[in-house]
This record gives sequence, C-alpha cells and structure tokens, in this order.
Amino acid sequence: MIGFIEFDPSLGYWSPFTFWTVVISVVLTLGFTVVVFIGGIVDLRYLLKSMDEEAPDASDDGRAVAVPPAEADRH
Amino acid sequence: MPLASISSIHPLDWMILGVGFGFFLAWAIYLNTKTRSVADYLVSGRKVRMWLGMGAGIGGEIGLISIAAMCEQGYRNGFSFVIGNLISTPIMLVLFGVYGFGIERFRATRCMSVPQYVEMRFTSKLRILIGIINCIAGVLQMCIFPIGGAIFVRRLIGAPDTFMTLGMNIPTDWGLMLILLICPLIFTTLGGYTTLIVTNFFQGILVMATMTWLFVHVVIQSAPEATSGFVPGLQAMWSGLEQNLKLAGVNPFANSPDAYGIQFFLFLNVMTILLQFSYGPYLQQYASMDKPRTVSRSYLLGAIFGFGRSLIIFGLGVAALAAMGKAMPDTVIGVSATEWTSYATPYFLAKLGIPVVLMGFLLLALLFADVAVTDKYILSWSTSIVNDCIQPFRKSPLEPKAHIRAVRITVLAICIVLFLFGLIYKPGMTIWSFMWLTANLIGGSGIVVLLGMYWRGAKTPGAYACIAICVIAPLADIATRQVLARSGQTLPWTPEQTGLYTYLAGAVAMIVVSLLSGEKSKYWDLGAVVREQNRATA
Repeated sequence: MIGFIEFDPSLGYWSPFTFWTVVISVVLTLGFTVVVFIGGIVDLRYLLKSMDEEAPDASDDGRAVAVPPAEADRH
Repeated sequence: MPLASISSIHPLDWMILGVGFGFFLAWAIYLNTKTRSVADYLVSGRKVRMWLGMGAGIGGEIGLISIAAMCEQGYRNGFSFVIGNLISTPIMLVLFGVYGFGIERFRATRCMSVPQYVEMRFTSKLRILIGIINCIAGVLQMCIFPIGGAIFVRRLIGAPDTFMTLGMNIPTDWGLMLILLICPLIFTTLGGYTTLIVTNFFQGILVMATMTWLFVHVVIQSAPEATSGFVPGLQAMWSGLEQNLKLAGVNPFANSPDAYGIQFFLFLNVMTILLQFSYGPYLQQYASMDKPRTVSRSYLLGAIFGFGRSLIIFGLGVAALAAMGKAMPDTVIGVSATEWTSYATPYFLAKLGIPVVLMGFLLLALLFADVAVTDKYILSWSTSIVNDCIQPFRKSPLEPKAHIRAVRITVLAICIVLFLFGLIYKPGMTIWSFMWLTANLIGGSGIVVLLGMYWRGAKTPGAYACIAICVIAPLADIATRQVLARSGQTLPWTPEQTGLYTYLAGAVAMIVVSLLSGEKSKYWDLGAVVREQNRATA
C-alpha cells in the first residue's frame, strides 16, 4: 500500500510510479485549465479589439513573397 | 442492466445541447462580421496571443475521433503510454518549448502553409508537388473522423443500427455522420480561423470539465457493491488494470504482445518532431500567433500541463477494461475482435448509465470536440488546396472575397468526400494505426522544411529525392503487406520500422543529392528574422 491505493507487488515499482504520474498530471492539468481560461479571456478581448483597429493587408493571402535579394545573395 | 437508448435521453439534456449549440453559433455569427481579409479568415490576422492560442490548441487536439482513439488505447494498453510520454516530453520540451526549434522560424517566415515556405526556399513546382501530396494524405487521414465519431456516439447513446426514413432503412451512422459534417461546415464558413480559435478555446474548457466529471462518475460507479465512494472505486479500477494487462498495463516496454515496444515510441517521437514542420493544421496554428516566441511558449506550457487531459480520457478506457476484462462479452453480437477494442468504452459507459445533466454536457462536448478538430483540419487542408494547388496556376492572385469563397467551396467539397468515404468504410485496423499511417506520408516534407530552414546547402534536387523516398517507401510497404496477406504471410519488420528508416533514408538522400547539386541556394537566415520579430513585438 502506497498512500491510499494497494498495488500488485509482482509488478514492482512500475505500477505505483505510473499511478502517481497519472494523478499528479491530472491534478496539474485541472489547475492549469483554470489559468488558461482566465488568460484566454484576456487574450480574446485583445483579439477582438485589434481586429477592429488594424487595417487589412490585401497582399497577405498566402502567395510566396520573394526573399529579399540582399538576404539571398549573402549566402 | 439494459443499454441506454436515444429515447431515454432526458429533455433537460437536449436543452443543454441546444443552449450550448446556440452559444457557439452566436460567437461564430459575431466573429464572421469581424473577418475582413484573407489573413483574418485563414490565420486570425496573426493576432492570437499565448493563452488563447494555447487553449484553442489544446481544444483543437481533443476531437471526437481522438477521444474514441484514446479510449481504445486505454482499453488495449492501460496507462503504459504514460512512461513513453515521460521519456519523450523532456526532449520535446527542450526542442520546441525552450528553443522553439523550427517552429519559431516557421512563424517568422509569415507563411500560411508548408508549401508556401517551400516555394520561397526552393521552387514553385516543388511547392505544388508537396501541396498535392500533403493535401491527399491529410484528407485521407480526415476521412475516418466523421464515420469514426459517428460510430462512437451511436454506441454511447445506444442508438439502433438503422432508422426508417422516407420508407428506407438508413444506417444510423450515416445520419450521425451527416450531423458531424454539417456542424463543422457551418462553423468553418462563419469566420474561418478566427471562429475556430474562439470556439476551440471554449470547447477545450468544456471537454476538460465534462470528461473530468464523467471520469469521477465512472470511478465512483466502479466501487465494489459492499463499498462506495471515489477511493474504493479507484482501487477497483487500478487492481482491474493490473490483473488484466499485468506489467504491459504500466510498462510500455514489457515483454508482452500487449505492450507498445521501443520501436513504436522511436517512430512516434521522430514523427512527432517532423510533423511540427510539415503538418498543415499545426503550422496554420503557429502562423496565427502574434510573434515567434508565442509559438514556443504556448508549446511549452501546453506540453507540461496538457498531458493530464489525455490521461483522463485514457482512464475511461482503463475503467472499461477493469470492469469487463479483455474478452468481448457473449451478449455483444455482430462485432469483430478488431472492432471490439473501439466499441468497449462506449459500450461500458452506456451499460453503466450516465446521469441527467452530465449526459447533456457530454453530448455537447462530443459534438464540439468533433467541430473543433474537423474545423481545424478541414480549414487547413482547404487553405493548402487553394493556396498551394490552385493559386500557383493562376496568372493573377484571387481577390480577397473570391479567395475566401474558393476556400469555402473546397471545405464543402472535402465534406462531401468525407461523407462518401464514410458510406463505404469498414474498420480494419485501430483508429490510431490508420491516423499514423496517413500522417507518415506527410512527414517527409518535414525533413525538407527542417533542412531548408537550418542548412544553407539544402537544394531543390535533394528535396525531390527526399520526398520521393518518403512517399514511395511507405506506399510500397502497404502494397507488399496487402499482397503477402493473401497468402497468410507478412513482412519481417513492422510498419513503424518502415516509417522510421524511410525518414532516415529521406534525410540522407536530401543531404547527398544537395551536396552534388550545383543549384544556387535560396537560403536566408531565419534566426535573425526571429530575433527581429520578437524584439519588434516585445
């Protein structure tokens, strides 16, 4: 028995190690979800605001832009 | 205990589903009014900051098909995946989270897709070739999403195999598949990537909360009859895992046919690295972020803290294993042994019963898990088809409205392909194997991008050699296996080994052929661009 769970001794340390890794990862993730939610709401407000403010760039549509010749020639 | 049935879903659960759908739809309609340019539609105007990007990124990886696949893996292999992940996480964290290896450089190019970078670094013909290969492999991989998700939901809610409509007996999977395709179509059309980022963010939180609630419910219900509560349930579940899978349930390298094995993890890690530079949906997400450093920071935090979410879903499969064992119950008919592993968890959950309200949130979470991932992938491949396979053949670029319309039409066309595939699909391998097999074809372009970004000696002929090997070898492997299978034979190596050594051969070929080529390199120093962009937006 380690903590509150009884493990199969024939599996050695693999079973308790995996168990506690799972528990710690899940607890960390749950706490982190709250942080992501709060931070995400702040970033969402920024996204909405900046989409209103910045002028759209018609040339930014996925076409390949030539590498500046000075940069390409350097190598 | 009888299986739950669709008619037993409480009106309150339908109401939760309806209100939730309305919430997401209202966001999509609102965001559509804010989308003014192609960049807004395809990469959220590159204004996504760390927390929102990370939340949406995590949400975009928990699709309905991923949930089905994780439950399947939990049932087949227990929690042994944990150890493999613990080994690979430090490598990935340092590479991508700390150094931003390759992913920061890709963001610095301001490209929307891999082929766009390939044209800038190599040639437009190579861009078209890679665009076509990646799009075919990506769409092929997506084909399993709607039908796989529909099968999972049908089993979960205990719906009949067929239903009568217009005097015809229609498979329920087809009806569910139609719903799972129409919803992403609506959300992709309204607002594109901006809608996707926002809905994926809320969906990620919703799935996390709902799956945790469901897991706690399942654990409590797993307690022996004489006892009750969370801890006895957890004990029963863990002991059940140990008894059924022994060491293979907690050690991925155990000497057992149930274990993953070291070759599987080597292949998985190499492919995970290469997909960071070649997989359209990942790179479109990186392209939407406000600066290169945001890409690495969100990777770092997402990798450290996002792992637990997968374990909760794996846990549902483990609970099914602990309660029912590995053998298929005699009461289950018309299901093959291959199908049973994917059927086991929804069958177990339906048998256990899901309480009112939780069922409503679960249906909402599953629906939007499907919307999130299908949206993300379908928009990415549609973008690539229009930008990399259509646009290069035009003499003048499309006007912004026509460009967005072309992406929307492509989204619709892909949805039709996915639906037609679902009509003929028969499960023949695990969901994970199918997804990795198709992703294998895309990995080769990761080598081209990686060497292109870091090695000034990388040349176009070398890139062609690499792509040829990485496409031909896996296809030859699949074809040979199909032929040998007819006479009951198989190749003496695994598909994972083929994938691993193909990448190695592809990299060697690219280096050797590039060294022999006299072509002038179009290399430019992306490291300096990364530093400049990080400073400019600091």
